[in-house]
Amino acid sequence: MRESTNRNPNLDRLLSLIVEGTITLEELEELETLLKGFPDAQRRYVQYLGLHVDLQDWESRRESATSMARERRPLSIVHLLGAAAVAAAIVFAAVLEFQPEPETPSDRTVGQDTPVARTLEPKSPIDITLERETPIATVVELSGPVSWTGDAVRILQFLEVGTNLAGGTVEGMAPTSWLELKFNDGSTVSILGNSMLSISHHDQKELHLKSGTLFGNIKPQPKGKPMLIHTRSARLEVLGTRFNVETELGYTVLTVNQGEVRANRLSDEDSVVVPAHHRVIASVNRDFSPEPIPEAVYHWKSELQREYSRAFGKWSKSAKEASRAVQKRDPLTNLSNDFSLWAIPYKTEEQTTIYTTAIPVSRGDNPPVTLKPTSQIRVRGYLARNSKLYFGVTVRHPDGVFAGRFQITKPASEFQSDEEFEVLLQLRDYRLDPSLSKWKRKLPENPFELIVESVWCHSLYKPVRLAVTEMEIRSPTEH
Amino acid sequence: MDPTAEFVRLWTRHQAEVERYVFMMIPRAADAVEVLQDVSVHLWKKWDKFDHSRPFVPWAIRFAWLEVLKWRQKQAREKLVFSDTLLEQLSSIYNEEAPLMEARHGALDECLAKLNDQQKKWVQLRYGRHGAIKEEAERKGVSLHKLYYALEKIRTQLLQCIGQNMKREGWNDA
Repeated sequence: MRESTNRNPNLDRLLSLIVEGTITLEELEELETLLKGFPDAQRRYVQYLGLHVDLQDWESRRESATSMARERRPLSIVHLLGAAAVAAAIVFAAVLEFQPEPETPSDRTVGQDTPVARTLEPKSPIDITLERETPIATVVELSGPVSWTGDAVRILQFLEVGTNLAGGTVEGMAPTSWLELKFNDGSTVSILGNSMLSISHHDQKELHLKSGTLFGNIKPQPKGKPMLIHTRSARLEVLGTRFNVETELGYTVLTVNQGEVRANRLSDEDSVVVPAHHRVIASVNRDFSPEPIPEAVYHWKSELQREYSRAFGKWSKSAKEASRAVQKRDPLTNLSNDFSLWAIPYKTEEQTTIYTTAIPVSRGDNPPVTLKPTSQIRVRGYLARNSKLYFGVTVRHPDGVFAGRFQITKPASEFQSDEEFEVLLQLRDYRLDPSLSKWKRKLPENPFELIVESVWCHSLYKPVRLAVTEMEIRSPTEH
Repeated sequence: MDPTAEFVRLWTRHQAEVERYVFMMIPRAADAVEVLQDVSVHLWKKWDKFDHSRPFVPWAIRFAWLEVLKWRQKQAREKLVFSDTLLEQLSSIYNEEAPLMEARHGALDECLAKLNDQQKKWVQLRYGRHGAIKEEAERKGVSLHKLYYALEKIRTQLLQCIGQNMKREGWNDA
């Protein structure tokens, strides 16, 4: 698939006319002539109209974010019309479908009730729309940028503690994001970092973890209605327990700390019960059997070539290639590593821009990496302009509960512009991230004996072309 | 799970994808909404036939295609529609392009940030409140045609930027 190099200049003009709705019959015939039998032109058509739809969506999101209103905002006129159409259509279809041959309710399967009953029955489509407005969970802990997209097309760019949520999706927008939700029955779930979680509660609690890490502390659920957690590779049934789930494109890791959880691997519908202090990995190439949680280790070294899909930053296969992309000359010639992770920006709720890179540590197949008072963290990277840098770790308790972020800063004077750097940091010098100070009493004073979720490095306010090429955690007493 | 709730959940989540497909085939918003409505009715009617082990969107797109053809037949006397042959070709190209759309959508924010303030304003006026761009044209005393031309240039610039971003990210097919 290649873009045409000799595109007809008339094509974009006609495509513009078609999206503006001002095309004439003659022009439409001309467009058909340009498109029919020409895959490159057809591709341009699909991309052009796709851009038009994306721009509609973008402007709606921008307006919603600007107003920051807690009121419902339409994604687009077409979305709104579509949603209304669907609600009406479903009811209309239900009436058409069920009117000709009324049956007794006992003869029907679930959901196939009479038209009259459908109107009154709480589970009819219309009532589901209303139900989506009923809060099912409340934000109880929050740090870092977390966005919310409600099922009722409500978008909040930044959530706040105390916000009541109906069904929808929460997304951690940065490696530092942390959110804890409490359901109406007291069950809590939290997400860390760049995780994406959809929540719903109709007959039973149902979560969809698209990516990232989730910790659950679930109260006993009604008999026959376990909490369901879906990922791309597994379905988990939780009756009442403490556990954590981590998922990416090709795998799901379930670690149970208390109670038990049934895990189903979607690829072959294999099913296992995972008891406390065990974990199971749902992946095509792994044995799907519970295994004891591996022993903690005290050493870890990044492997950027393996981490690129999970790390936060702009991953570059070759530092030299990356340098050519950002400037004509090649400042990274001396960098020895072939892989680098360039800092990318995100905005905090205080509108501070942070340029950050982060690498997950105790993830996937890796055993939990635990910190000791003597632990050291070594970071290698590159800075185009010398700047104050922040180095940190995000940690959790062995049972999965978030335990804070700890960091250390290094002044700009310790770095040279346009130079590779290497720092060796002592963990005992790390302090609680000031943005978490309001949880000071609740969080540990230091990160010792805690499990490392991720390590990160960032600058503030301005892009200084920060790249990380290697991170390492080591504990000298172990050697 | 209640099958009705499951349908509403999946349709709410994926409606935009089906809508996008319908709009590609029938690029007039009013017609596209009408066909989308018919698609949702037929999906609901056939919901008990849906194989839940398979993805929802391709299943829905197949229905959308049939509804597009049905709409095309109804509009046989109306000239402002594409031929069946072209619709088939566009549907095929759409299926090839669909896996790239999320990445293209992701690249858009970066490309919009590169627009100058005036260009951003035109985009906001065009895609914001209905009729705002017409009012702006009248207020400034410029022809709507001129603003549409400016928007055409902006969209072309955005497509070029998105293509370059995609290639830089390793999407060789972009």
